[in-house]
Amino acid sequence: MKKLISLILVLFLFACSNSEDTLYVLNWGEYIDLELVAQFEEEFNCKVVMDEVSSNEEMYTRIKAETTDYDIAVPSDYMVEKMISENMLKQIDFDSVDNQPDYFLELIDIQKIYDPNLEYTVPYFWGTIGLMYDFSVEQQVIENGWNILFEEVDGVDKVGMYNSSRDAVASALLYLGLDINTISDSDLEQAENVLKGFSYETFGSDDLKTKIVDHNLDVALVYSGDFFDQLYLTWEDGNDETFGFYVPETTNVWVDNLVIPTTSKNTELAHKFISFMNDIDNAYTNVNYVGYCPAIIEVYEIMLIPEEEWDGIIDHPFYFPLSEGTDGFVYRDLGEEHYQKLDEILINVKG
Amino acid sequence: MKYKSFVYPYLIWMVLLVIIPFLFMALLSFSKSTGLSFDSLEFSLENVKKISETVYYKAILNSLLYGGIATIICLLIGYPVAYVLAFSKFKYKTLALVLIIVPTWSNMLLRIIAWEKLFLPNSILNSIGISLDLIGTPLAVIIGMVSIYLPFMIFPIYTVLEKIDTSLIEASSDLGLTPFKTFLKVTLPLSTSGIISGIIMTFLPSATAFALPARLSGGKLQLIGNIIETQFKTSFNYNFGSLISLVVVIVILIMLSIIYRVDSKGETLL
Amino acid sequence: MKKIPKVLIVVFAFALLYLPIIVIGILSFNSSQVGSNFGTITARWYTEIFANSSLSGAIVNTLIVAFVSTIISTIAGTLIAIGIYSFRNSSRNRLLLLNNFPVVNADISTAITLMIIFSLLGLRFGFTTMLLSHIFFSIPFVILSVAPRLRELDKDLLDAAIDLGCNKFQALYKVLIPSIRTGIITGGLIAFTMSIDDFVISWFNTGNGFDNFSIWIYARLGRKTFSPSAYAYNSLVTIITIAGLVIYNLKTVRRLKK
Repeated sequence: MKKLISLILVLFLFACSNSEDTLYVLNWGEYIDLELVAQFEEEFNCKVVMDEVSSNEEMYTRIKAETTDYDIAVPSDYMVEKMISENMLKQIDFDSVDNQPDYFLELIDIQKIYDPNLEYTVPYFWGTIGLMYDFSVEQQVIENGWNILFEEVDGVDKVGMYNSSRDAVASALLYLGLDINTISDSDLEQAENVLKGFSYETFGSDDLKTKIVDHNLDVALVYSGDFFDQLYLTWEDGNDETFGFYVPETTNVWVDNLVIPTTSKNTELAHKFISFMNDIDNAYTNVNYVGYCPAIIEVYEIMLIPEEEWDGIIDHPFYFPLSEGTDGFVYRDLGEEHYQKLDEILINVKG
Repeated sequence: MKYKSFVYPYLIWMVLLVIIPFLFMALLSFSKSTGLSFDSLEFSLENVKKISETVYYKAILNSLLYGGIATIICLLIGYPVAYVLAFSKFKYKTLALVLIIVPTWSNMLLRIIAWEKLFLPNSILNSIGISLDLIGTPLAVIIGMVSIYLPFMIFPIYTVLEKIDTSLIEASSDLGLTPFKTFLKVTLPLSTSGIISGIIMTFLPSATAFALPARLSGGKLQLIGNIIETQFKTSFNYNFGSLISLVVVIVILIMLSIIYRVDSKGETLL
Repeated sequence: MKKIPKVLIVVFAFALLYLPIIVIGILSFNSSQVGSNFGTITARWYTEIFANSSLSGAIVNTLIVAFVSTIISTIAGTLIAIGIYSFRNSSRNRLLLLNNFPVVNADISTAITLMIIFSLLGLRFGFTTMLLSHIFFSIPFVILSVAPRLRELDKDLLDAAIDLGCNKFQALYKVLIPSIRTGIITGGLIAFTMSIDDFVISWFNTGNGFDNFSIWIYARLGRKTFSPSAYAYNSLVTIITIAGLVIYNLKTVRRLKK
């Protein structure tokens, strides 16, 4: 009996041994090089606990639930806007951030929309939404653009939709030529109808891109980096890719940011993390893993150097979010009830 | 025995972890608030109105439908299997029963992934020339449910059949009844408590599952479990989520009370 | 009934139950991480189980929670069951009925009620909340396992023990508990099983990086970070369990024959 109790105590103490300096990060799936994280842990003698989500709404809910004291989160533009309005973010003390590189001017213009005084955010990656497709349907995708997600097209059988209410509805609004930030009931009803009117093979997130690579899907709505990261993996394995990526003329451009939620208990370490991710070498290593376009100009310029071997990526028409001919629109915060409306549209569509 | 005092802490525990949260959930169900905070609590019936919207009705109906079909299939497969095992003279029949339970010790999510991988059009089955393009179909979800919950149907029925005194069966056939009639009039009635246990242990988890329908339907099927999970993990709507959870609990309580009336010794479960 | 269809349905049931297990086993040897086509056969996922720190951390967490919650809930459940049986029939049945509620309640409802009360109590989510939730759902099962043994117990046994000079606690420890031993062990095994494989309840009641095996898997479904070492670990557990059971059963049957 006594042995049992001492066993329980030992196990209990073992499990409670959280005495290390810990940084709690809430990130998207596959959105940071884990070796870089290990490097950070070593350099600052701490532990990084990373949770992953697959939508901004999930990120918001996780922070609001307060079951974990996140120090760093990575929300997108409109979600930052919403979080600021609800006093969920701490102002970043830029004096404690050693590395403050230059970001693309167009990106800063976007940043000023959701963080007017540039006090709460540090840009991380940016990109667009678009269509990732199997080569067998390349022609149809380029000819049809967004239509391919809502209309039957010859030769296109399995279509995947993103399991995010904001993005799914936005793709419908883009197809209909409406404002992606509309809150008009009739607009949203139209969007719901076109989504309902099409039979999708699956609703997914990070698994959409792998399904395209495996030929289990013909085309899907994805984020730009989804395509590039699969491209990196395919080339690493020494194979040729069987899939492509196309961004129709009018699309959504988004910017993801490092922020410090008010739940943070270890703000000092959080600032060190931000600084670490902004170090040019580290940011460059990260870009190698994450398929998205860097926010830092200097990192992008390294990629332009031929010896760094980024051809196929850096010259890809859709790598840089605001490339020639892309009319990119940024999401705005829509207000409380409208997020619920969007969620309901998605539930209705699936039902 | 004079150990009554051991029960009182348990009553406090149950009040704290069951009664109090339910009261709170009832409060949340009929109000509008931000999460669990009392700051902006105001009385509202909007959640009740919401639940009458078609899509939520559909989710409830689908849950009953899928859970029901899976349970019936489990019964049609499980009863014969339990019967064969219970009445067999097979030397290792206890081992056979345990081997039926062993798959439940294998992580359920991994088993769901395994089915998902088998149902994709391009899968490892291609190497033997088969392509089961079943993801997204109701069949995929049902097969998954049956595969996961079948042991929970077999086990209680086996337990009950095993206890049946074989002399009763011998007597019945001595009295001239055919094996089929013996089954109908002797075996089956004696096994009802096992059948009821099996049905509860199969129907409830399959009707309220969320990971299984989400993966095997390609994210398209919305059962009541999925709706509840979305409310609490993505939509941050604790109010509506609480209401639906309470509806589920009330349905379960109704089922429990029906069973209590049918079998007051409390022997049904286990 | 004819022999062939009899065996057939049992075989069909086994096929349905074991097909996913076999697939998991195959995938554990597949060099391709994605698993939709076959690469080469490799044992690397097995050797890498403990090299993968997030996976091994999750496995260790799962085992710790399982052991601690099983020990606590078995002890508590046994004592509470004894307490319940100290009451007369009508109260006893009411208590058992109350006890049945967590057993039948849907996973997700239990998960949410626990999450709500833990949040209201201001508890830090992680090991403590996961442990408490596992204890919560295990105790009723222990009670259900012990109850039948208590029912069959010889009432005079305890009286005799007390007549012979035992006090209440000696009678409990030296007489009562040994006689319901099989129920306690079964209850403990059920509690352990429920805890090891729990997903829904744990997922809503953890935080601050304390993941168990199921949560580790769910968070990585469809992503690069999912390692087939999970399949390897699971297959190992399955094989060891089956081997253990087969050996135990063979020994028992042989012993009975003698």
